[in-house]
Amino acid sequence: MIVIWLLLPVVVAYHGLTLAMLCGSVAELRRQRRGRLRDLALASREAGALPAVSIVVPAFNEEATILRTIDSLLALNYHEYEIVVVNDGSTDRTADVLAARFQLRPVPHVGQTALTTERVRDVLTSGVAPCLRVVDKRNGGKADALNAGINEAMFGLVLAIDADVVLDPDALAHLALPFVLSPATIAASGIIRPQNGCEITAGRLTHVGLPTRWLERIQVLEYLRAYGVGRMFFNAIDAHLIVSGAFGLFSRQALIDLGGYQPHSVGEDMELVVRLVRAARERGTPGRIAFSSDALCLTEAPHSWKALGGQRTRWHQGLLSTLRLHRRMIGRSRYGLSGVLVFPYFLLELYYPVVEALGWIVPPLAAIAGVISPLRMFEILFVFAGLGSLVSLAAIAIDAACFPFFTDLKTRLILIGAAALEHCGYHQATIVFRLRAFLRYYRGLQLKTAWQPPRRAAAPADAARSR
Amino acid sequence: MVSGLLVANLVLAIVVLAIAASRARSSALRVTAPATLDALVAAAHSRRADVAVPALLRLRDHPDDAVPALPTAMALTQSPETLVSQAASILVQRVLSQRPDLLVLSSSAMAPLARRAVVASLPASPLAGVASDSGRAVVRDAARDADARVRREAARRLAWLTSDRLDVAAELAGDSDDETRRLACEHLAGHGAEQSVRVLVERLAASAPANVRVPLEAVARLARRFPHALDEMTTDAYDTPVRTAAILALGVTGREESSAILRAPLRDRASDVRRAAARALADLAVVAAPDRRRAIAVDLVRQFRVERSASVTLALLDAIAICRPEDGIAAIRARIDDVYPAIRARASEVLADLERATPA
Repeated sequence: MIVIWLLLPVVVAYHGLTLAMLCGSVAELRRQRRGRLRDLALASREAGALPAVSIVVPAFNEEATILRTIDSLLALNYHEYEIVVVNDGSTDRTADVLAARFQLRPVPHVGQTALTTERVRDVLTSGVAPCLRVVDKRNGGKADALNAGINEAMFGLVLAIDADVVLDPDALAHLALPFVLSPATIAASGIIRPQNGCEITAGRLTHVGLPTRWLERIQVLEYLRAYGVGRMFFNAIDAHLIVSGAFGLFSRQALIDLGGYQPHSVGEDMELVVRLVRAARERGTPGRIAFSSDALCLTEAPHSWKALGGQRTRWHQGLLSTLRLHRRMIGRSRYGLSGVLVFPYFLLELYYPVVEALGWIVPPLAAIAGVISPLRMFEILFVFAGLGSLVSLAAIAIDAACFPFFTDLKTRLILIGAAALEHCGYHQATIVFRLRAFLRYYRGLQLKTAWQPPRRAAAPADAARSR
Repeated sequence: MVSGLLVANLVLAIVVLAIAASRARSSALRVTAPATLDALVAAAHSRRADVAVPALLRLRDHPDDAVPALPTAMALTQSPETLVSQAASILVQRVLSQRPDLLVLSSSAMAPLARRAVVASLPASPLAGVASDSGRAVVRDAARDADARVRREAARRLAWLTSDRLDVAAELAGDSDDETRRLACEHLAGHGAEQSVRVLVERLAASAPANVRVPLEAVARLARRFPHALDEMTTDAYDTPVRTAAILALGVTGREESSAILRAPLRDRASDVRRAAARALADLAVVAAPDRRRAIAVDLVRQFRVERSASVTLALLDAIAICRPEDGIAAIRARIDDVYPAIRARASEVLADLERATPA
C-alpha cells in the first residue's frame, strides 16, 4: 500500500506537468498562427529570400522506399536545393534502383572532407535530375552516412531526413524561415506524422487516412501527442532539445564545427542537438533550436510488434546514453531553461517507465495478497490509464483545432478510441520495451547502431491497406 | 470515488480544451487585415506583429496599389520585430519589381533588409528598359555593401554589370560569406574569361577542406571552355597551394589528355603536389576510357613502387583501386608489410579488390 501511495503523487505530478506543457503548447500555436508564419514563409520563398538547402538522405537497404522518397523531394516547392543520397553500403538493390531510375553516372569525387567517415567509393550524378547526387560509401552506420552527406553538401543549410519519409511540398520553406528571422538559429525541426494509412502518389500525399490496424493507429496518436505537447512547449520557452533524425534542418557550419554526428551513437539525433546547445552555451555563442508547426514530414511507423519494440528500445537507450553523456547539464542554470527545466523533464521521462511498471504491477499483487480490495485496485489502475488518456484527448482536441490534417469526424473518433485502447496492452508493452533499454545499457549490450530500420511494407501495399 | 473524480475531471478537461481549441481556430480565422489601402498602411504600422504582418502581406498582393505604402514598408524593414521587418522587405521587393522607376528613390535605403529588397527586386538578368543604369548602380553598390545579405543578392545579379563585371565577381568570389562566394564562383564558371580561371584556382587554394566543392567544380567547368588555362599553373613556376589547386581542378575537368600533364607533378619534390596529382589521376580514371585508364595506371604503379611519403602512398593506393591495373597486385604485395599501419590496412583492402577483379 505504501508503494502505491508513493507512486500516485509521481504519476499525478508527471501528468500534471504534461498538461501544463499542453497549455504552453496551445499558447505557442496561437502565437505561430497569429504571426502568420505560414504565409510569411511562402511569401519569403516566392521572393527568393530563403537560403539554399542541401538535403541529405542516408540510405541502407531502402530499395522499397527510396524512389518514393526522392520523388517527394523532387516535388518540393523550393527555389534552390540539392539532394545528396548516401548509400551506406546497402546489401540490397538500393544502388541498382537508383541507378536505373535516375541514370546515374560517376563523377570525380571532389574530396570535400570536413568530417571523417568510412571510405567513399563513388560519387554519382543523375542524367535526369540535375539536383540529385548519390554518394556510394562503405557501411559505417547512419551517423557516418549523415557525416558523409554533410561533407558532400554544397549549401549552408543541411536537411537531414530518413530514407522513408515523404515531405510536404512547402515543408522546406517553413523550416528555412527561422534561419532568416533569427541569425542565432542553428537547427530547426517540424511536425512528423506517420504516413501509415495515407495514400502517396508520385511522392505527394494524395489521401489522408488512418491505418486499419490498432497497433498503427495508436502510434498515430502517440506522434500527435509528442508533437502537440512536448515540441511545441519547448519552442514556447525557447529551450528545444529535440530535432528528430527523420526531419531536421541544420547550419552546416555548426555541424562541422562540432564534428558532426557521433558515429556508433544510438540516439545520434538527440545527442547532436544536445551537443549543439551545450557547445553554444559554453562558448557563449548564439544557438537557437527552432520548431515550425507548419513544416510537415510523413514517416513510416512500424507495422509489427517486433519492429516497434526495436524502435522504442533504441529510442530509450538513445535518451539514456545522451542524458548520461551530458549529465553535467542537468539542473545547471548555465545552460538556461534547457538545463534547469528540459533536462530534468527528460530525466523524469527516462525513469518514468519504472514508475509506470510498478504502477501496473503492484496494485494487482496487493489485491491478490488481500491488502486492497479488487474495486480499489481497478480504481488505482483507472487513475493510471485515465490520466494518460486525458493528455491524449487534449492533444486530439488541439490537433483538431489547429491542424487541417485529419478533417473528418470518423478519424477523430477512431483516435479517441485509440486513446482508450492504448492502455489495454499497447502502453504496457512500450513500458517493457523501454525497460529493456535499461537492461541492455547496463549489461553493456549495445544495440547495433549501424542501421535498424523498422520492417517496412512497400509503398503500394501500404496504399492498398489504407483503402 | 477516485474513478468518479477522474471521470469528472476528464469530461471537464475535454470540454474546456474543446472550447479553447475552437477559440484558437476562430481567432486564427479572425486575423484578417482590413481591406482599404489606408487601413492596411495603418495596420502595417501596428506594434503587434499579428496585425502588421497580415497587412504587409496583403499589400504585397496588390503591388500597384501599394506604391504609396513604399516609404512605410522601407521604414518597417528596421522594425525590431523580425516578422514585421521580413514582411516589409518582401513588400518593398514586390513593389520595386513592379515599378523599377522607383529604384532611384530607394537606392539610399538605410536598413540592410531594405537594401537587400531593393537589389532583390531586380531580375537576375537586365532587360532593356529605363531602369538599366540605375539597376547597374544598385548592383555595383550592393556588391560593396557591409551586409552579407545585400552582397548575396548582388552576387545573384552580376549579369547587370558590364565592363567591371568580372572584377566585381572576382572580388565577391573571395567574400567572407559562403553563399556570396558560391554565387560569384558559379557566375565566373558560367560567364568568366580565361583569366578568371586563375582567380578561381586562387580561390580554391585558399578554401578550407570543408568548402572546396564549389570552387573546384567552378574552375573545372570554366577550364573545360579554356582547355589549356590550367596547364601552366601546374608547373613549379607557381606556389605549391596554387599548383595543388590547379592539379586537382585538372582532374575534375575529366579531360583525358590532362593525364599527360600530370605525369611531372606525380614525380614532383613536394609531397602535396604528388598527392594532388595522384588524386587528379584517380578522378580522370573514373571517367576515362579503358585504354587511357591503363596508361594512367602505368604511371600510378611506377610512382607507387618508389613513393616514400605515407599520405601520397595512400592517395596512390586509392587511385590504383580505381584503375585496377594487372601489375598492381605485384606492386602492392611488395609493400604489404609497410611500416605504416594505415598503408598496410589500405593495401590489404586494395589487394583483395584487385584479386577479386582479376580472373584466375
